[in-house]
Amino acid sequence: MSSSVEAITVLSSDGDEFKITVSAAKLSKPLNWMLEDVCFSDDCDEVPTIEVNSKTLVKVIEYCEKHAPRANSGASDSDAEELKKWDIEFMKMDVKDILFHILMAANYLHMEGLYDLACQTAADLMKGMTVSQIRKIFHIKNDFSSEEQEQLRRQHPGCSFD
Amino acid sequence: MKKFHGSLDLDNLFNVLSRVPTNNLLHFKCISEEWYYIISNNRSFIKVHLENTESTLSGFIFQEKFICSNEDIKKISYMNNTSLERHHDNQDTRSNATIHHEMFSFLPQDVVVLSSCNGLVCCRSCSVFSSPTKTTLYICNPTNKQWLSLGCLDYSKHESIVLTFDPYKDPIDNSTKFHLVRLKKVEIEKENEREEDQDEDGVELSHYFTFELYSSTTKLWKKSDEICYYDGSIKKQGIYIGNVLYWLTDADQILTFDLENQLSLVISTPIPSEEFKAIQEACIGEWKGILCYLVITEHGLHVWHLEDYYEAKWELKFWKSLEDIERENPKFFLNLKNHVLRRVASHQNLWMDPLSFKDGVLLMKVFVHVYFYDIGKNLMVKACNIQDLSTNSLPCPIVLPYSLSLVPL
Repeated sequence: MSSSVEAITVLSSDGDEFKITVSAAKLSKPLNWMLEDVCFSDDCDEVPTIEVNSKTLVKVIEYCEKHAPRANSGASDSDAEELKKWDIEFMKMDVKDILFHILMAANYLHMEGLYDLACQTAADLMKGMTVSQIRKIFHIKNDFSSEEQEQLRRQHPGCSFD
Repeated sequence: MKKFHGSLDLDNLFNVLSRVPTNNLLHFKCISEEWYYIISNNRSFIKVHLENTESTLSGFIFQEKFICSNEDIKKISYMNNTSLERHHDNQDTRSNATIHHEMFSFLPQDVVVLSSCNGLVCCRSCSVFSSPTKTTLYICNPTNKQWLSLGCLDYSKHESIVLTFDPYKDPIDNSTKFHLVRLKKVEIEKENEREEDQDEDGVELSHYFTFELYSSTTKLWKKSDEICYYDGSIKKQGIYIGNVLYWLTDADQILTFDLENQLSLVISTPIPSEEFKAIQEACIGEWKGILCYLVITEHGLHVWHLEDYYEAKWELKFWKSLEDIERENPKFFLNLKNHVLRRVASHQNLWMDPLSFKDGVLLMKVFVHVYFYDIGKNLMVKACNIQDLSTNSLPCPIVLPYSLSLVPL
């Protein structure tokens, strides 16, 4: 692999171009493979497309760039502490609008750290939600029949359907 | 990649839900049929959920027992510790814990609770004792109201049954594996006295203990070869921590049984009670996988950790004087130290009685009130009045810590 390549260009699913440094791209297996393909092929003009929309990809790249130095070289405890704080700030975002997209992008890009972080953040947010709030966010209809609801209420007296 | 629909596909949903704590997750059963299925009946989901969430204390089960009478007391109370969390979130602090009396009403009979472990509870049917008495054993999960009957057995009042269930060691993929350990006190008949009925110092013993093990896989009881020649009596319910069972005895000692090598041991508690003026009461419990010994004396509340099992090495991890406890909680306590030294006028009841301890939370009775004390957070919250739990105000009730669990049976 040529060491002169420091960053690669990728396309989002919306067709926008993004630059990502080689060390940041290494956080994702598929990106890493892509990287090797790009560098070894003769035709370097081809820009690979990542099936993630622009808004999400910006955030994913931001996460990669922040975590890359630590992932590549290891870090001290104080760095890890600082990174944890950064993660918390980074995850302050709208659930439906962006968090779920990041979660799915992390899954698709095989990024374990980001995936765990996104899942835990989503779980923490759900803890404080009512049943109807959850239905709204997940676009779920209450598909219980009235008999089933009655039965559930008997089994779980604290249960609320809204 | 799957198309976004503003919501998650099943795989990702599964991974998010597996990180939601059990008490919140239970409410999500009502969202839709699909969610109900994932949360209620899906062993692979419940297994991942166990791996991704910490099992936390949800509350305590309380049931009184007569010391002399042969009758069982049917009333069971459950108090959840959500008031501790509410307090922590700076919400309403004055309301007491909700007390539930119907926790085991899904079982076919009235029961006496025996042991609780990682969300499962072992109970026996109520009866009038003419020792030994036929009683039915049940294993149940009060959260999902599932239960199993293990059939009848001859039960006497001087025995203890402890449930051991470790979903981390025995994954619940296909079935839920658990064990029971039955500790039996066997009286030695004097006419058949032999030399082995004496302990190391040649002191005559009146009884010894035997161990019987039940496995959910074989559905059989098997008697262990181990016999423990020990003169004390079991005072409270046994507990199970990391393959070892512990029973607190009335002689400031702890009788232990190691499941792996099936050997028993008697270890001394850190401080003998003669050291103190006030007759103190103690309890044992688990904190982060370690056995703790809690004792309240005129010098305060002491929490000891068992550092070394074989050498019975204890380390004092926490101590707070009664004066400090009183100063920090002026709305609850007054003259604690004097009361503890004098005790209540009654001959049986202690002023401060540690009832049960788990995950850093102590349930204690002080005079006629019951409190949760979160030692880690130094937070005292009133749970209820003792009348809410008991009608007889008897000493030595059965108190079991309980954690909500999705584990199917």
